[in-house]
Amino acid sequence: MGQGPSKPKASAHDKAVFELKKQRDVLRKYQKQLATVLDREHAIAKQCLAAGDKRRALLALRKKKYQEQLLAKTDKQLVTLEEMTSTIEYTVIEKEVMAGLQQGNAVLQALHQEMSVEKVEAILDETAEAIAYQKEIEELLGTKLSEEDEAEVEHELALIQEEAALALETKMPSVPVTAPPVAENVGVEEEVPAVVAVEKSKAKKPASTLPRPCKTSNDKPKLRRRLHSQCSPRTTEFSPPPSLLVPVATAAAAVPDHASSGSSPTRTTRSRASRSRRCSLPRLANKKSI
Amino acid sequence: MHAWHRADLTAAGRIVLDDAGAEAIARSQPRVGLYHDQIRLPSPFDDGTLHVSSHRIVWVAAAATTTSKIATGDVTADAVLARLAPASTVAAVAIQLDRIDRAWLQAGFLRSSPKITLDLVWTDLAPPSTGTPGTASTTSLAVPAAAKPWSCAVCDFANFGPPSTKCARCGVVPTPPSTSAACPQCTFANRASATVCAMCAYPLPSSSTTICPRCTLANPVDATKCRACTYVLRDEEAVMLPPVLKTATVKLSFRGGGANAVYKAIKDALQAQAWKRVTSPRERAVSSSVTASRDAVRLSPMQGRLASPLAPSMDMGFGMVAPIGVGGLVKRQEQEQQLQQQTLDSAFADLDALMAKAHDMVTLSNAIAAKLRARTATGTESDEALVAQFRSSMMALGATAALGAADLPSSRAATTDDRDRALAREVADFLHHVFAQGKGQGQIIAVSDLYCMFNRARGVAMVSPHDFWTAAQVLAMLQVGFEARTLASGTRVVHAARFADAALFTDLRQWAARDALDVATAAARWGVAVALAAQLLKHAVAHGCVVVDAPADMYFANRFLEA
Amino acid sequence: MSTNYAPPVPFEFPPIYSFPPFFTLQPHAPSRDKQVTAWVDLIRAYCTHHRVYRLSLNASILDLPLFRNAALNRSVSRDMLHTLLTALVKADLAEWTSKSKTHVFVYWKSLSEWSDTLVAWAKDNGFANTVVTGYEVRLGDYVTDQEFYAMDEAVFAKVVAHLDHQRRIVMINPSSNVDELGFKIIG
Repeated sequence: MGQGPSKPKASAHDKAVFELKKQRDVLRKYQKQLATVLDREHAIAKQCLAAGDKRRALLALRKKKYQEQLLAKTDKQLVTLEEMTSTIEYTVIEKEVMAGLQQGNAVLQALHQEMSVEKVEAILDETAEAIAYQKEIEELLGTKLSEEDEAEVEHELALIQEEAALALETKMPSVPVTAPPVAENVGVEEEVPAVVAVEKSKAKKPASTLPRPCKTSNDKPKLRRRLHSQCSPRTTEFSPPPSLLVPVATAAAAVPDHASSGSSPTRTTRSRASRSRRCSLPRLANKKSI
Repeated sequence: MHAWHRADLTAAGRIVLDDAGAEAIARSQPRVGLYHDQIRLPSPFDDGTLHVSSHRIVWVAAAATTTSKIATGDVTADAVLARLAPASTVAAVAIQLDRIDRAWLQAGFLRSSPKITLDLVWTDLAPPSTGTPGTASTTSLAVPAAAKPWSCAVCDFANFGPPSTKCARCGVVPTPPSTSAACPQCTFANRASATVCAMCAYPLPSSSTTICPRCTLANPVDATKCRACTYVLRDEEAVMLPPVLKTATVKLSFRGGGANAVYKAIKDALQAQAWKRVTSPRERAVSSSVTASRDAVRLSPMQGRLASPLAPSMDMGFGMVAPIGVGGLVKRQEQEQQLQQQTLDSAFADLDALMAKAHDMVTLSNAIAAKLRARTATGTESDEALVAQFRSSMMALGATAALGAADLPSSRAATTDDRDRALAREVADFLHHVFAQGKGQGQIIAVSDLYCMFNRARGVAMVSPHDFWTAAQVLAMLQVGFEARTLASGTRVVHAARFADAALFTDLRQWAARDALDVATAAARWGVAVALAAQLLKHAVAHGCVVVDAPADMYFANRFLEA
Repeated sequence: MSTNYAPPVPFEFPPIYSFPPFFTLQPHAPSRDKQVTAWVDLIRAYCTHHRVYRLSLNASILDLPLFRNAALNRSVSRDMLHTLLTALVKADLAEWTSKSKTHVFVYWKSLSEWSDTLVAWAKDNGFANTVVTGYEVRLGDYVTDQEFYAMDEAVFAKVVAHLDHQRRIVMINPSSNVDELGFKIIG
């Protein structure tokens, strides 16, 4: 009415609930009253018995019994009422939930209308184009650095890695002589994580050569390259036991060589099998690590 | 010509009677008015008391003359009347009875009141009126000699004609006054130049002496009264009323009645002619003692009776006889009784006179006080000094009532005069004594008790309660260690410093901190009356020193304020 | 007193209660003020402990242990009681029932405090936003351990009115019978 926010009005079901509650109150009051009457009758019965008036005592007790029955009936009615009130309240809540859901649905639909599938695809395409464009620009910028420079840089990196491996070699434990009884396939899978784990723990990884998680499918060749560069210097210093190498080699031989182009001379010294094996290792490791 | 002359009154307003002549008042009548020759005289001459005495008729005005001018319309009459009745005094005039020829009565008719007319007689005993200014006018207005009556030597008739003609009644031609001077005593015709009579050696009247007709003493000429017998020789202020062309008459108008009685009295007096008789001393004494009239006073100094103008007349016969026999005894008894009465009256007369004086003074002081009150602050300094002086003198006299409360100074200290302070010191000394003796036990005493003790100690010279209380209130200012105070219930007490508020409260607090007080214990401890102790405790409660438990009337330390 | 509440622990009177002059109104003004203040505190504490909602100026009230110290055999006089009740009203701890000033409602908790208590109870016990009756809140089975159990009817009506005024409830059935009041506490 202009004097502030208007009070929320009492809805019809509020009124219904109230009426029910009122009746419940009435019954409750009646119950209490009956309880006092019962007590009184009991006391009277005792008195009468004490006085020796059996008839009257019986009468009092009969009254008491009748009222107890009434009490029981009222109890039942009370229960009914309570149930009714509870149901109503529950229904009210359900209704509210429904209303909420409806509302949510409507909101969702509205949101969907704003966001169509075509739009999403278009956005994704645009994003891919933008990335490719970016790559081109990078390559253009990157080719300023000549191939020889690249080779020298890689050579330096190899040297550093050898030094690190030398330092590590002194700490290495003795290599076991006998070959452990290992199944081929299982061994591969079991040893792969062991080998990978050992490799990883021994080498001091330069931060830049940490395997990056694969973002897009287009990054996979790059990643593989990286991993190769990681794996190869290590394996040159550290000669794994032939027992270990052999089952791995046999398994890896079946794997097609996915060696990428532009591999370094150091990499070519490796045997194909080991390379391919190693290639498979990183792939598996890749999967595992990712 | 003789007319009204001034009569002497005492300070209290009573007529002075001639003691030597045994003058006695025969009749008095109030509400008499005077007429001068058909002219009704205005106030104060229109209302007075007429006294008929054995020698004269005296008229005393009822009210003091308030105005200085009395207007009759006649200028000379006014002047005369003014002299007869100067302002602020009571006029009293008299006519000697021997001047009256005859009197007659006119009864009242309709609205006019009864009147007595007195015809006056011309005698040759007219006193020379010299010296007063009024007499100068009278001499100018003196009746020509032809109109002046002369009395025949044979028949005594008043002839109005020149003395050389025959007497109208008896036809005798009077002998012209001889050049010889007749001796008053032996009537020997001396030569005119004689000073002493050749026969009896009586001093002859001359221009330098006046012979008193009663006792024949030679008085100096300007004497008004004879030195021996105090007979009136000459009226000092004999003023003549303006000459009446027809006859000299005096009219008296009786507005209160009683004309008949007065007429009778005048007649009797005229008949008796007491002035002619030389009374014996015994008669004089008797008549003086018997006359119980209270509105006349004898000239002898021992008497001083008060005059009440409405005294009942004592009709005593002028022909008195020496009392003898049973009647004489009775009369003697009466005389003694009346003598006593006189003594008592004389004893109170002084007091009455004093009261009258005091009344005058109080009236005066009230008038001045009223003027003081009306005075505003714009009075000059000299006025203020006068006012202050007046006030202090009034206070010294004790007439503080006249000053009124408004005039009394407001600040006590400035004006507690020495009297209050001296009294206060006296009270303080007395208190020392009282408290030392232990009568005031506990050094606090009710003012009423102290007042009684103080006055009893003083004996005769007691002080009034008001003065005592004023002095008590000054005690505190004098710092003698005592203080007067009014408690809440209205009780006034005087106490030593021990019961001053500060000391009392400290004492109470210390005591209450230990245990609960009650009135009886407090009274015992302080040595005061229980009622007084109760009041002191109540006073302490009212100041929050202790708290009270009403049902048990116990007093505790004030825990409420401590917490 | 209109409730039959029996407190579990007997009330502890302050030491000033044993001071006989405490039962006599002192004439000295500052002492009297302190005394009346002490009385007001005592009355409030007593009413809180015993859950007294009403005090009336009748003969029986002077027999309350609050106003009568049997050990000292002292009791407050009627005039003094009137003064104390007036002071109580002035301190906002009570309210005159009628113009004739013979009864007071004692607000040992103020109306706002009661309102807060009720709303807090409703929220804690799941009665918020549900319809409740006056009887239920005042005498119901779920409130027997609450402070406001068996509150005086008139005071309860005032609390509800106050809540209504504060717009913290929705009135569903305004009724003059307190037990038939119906409202919903907003929470």
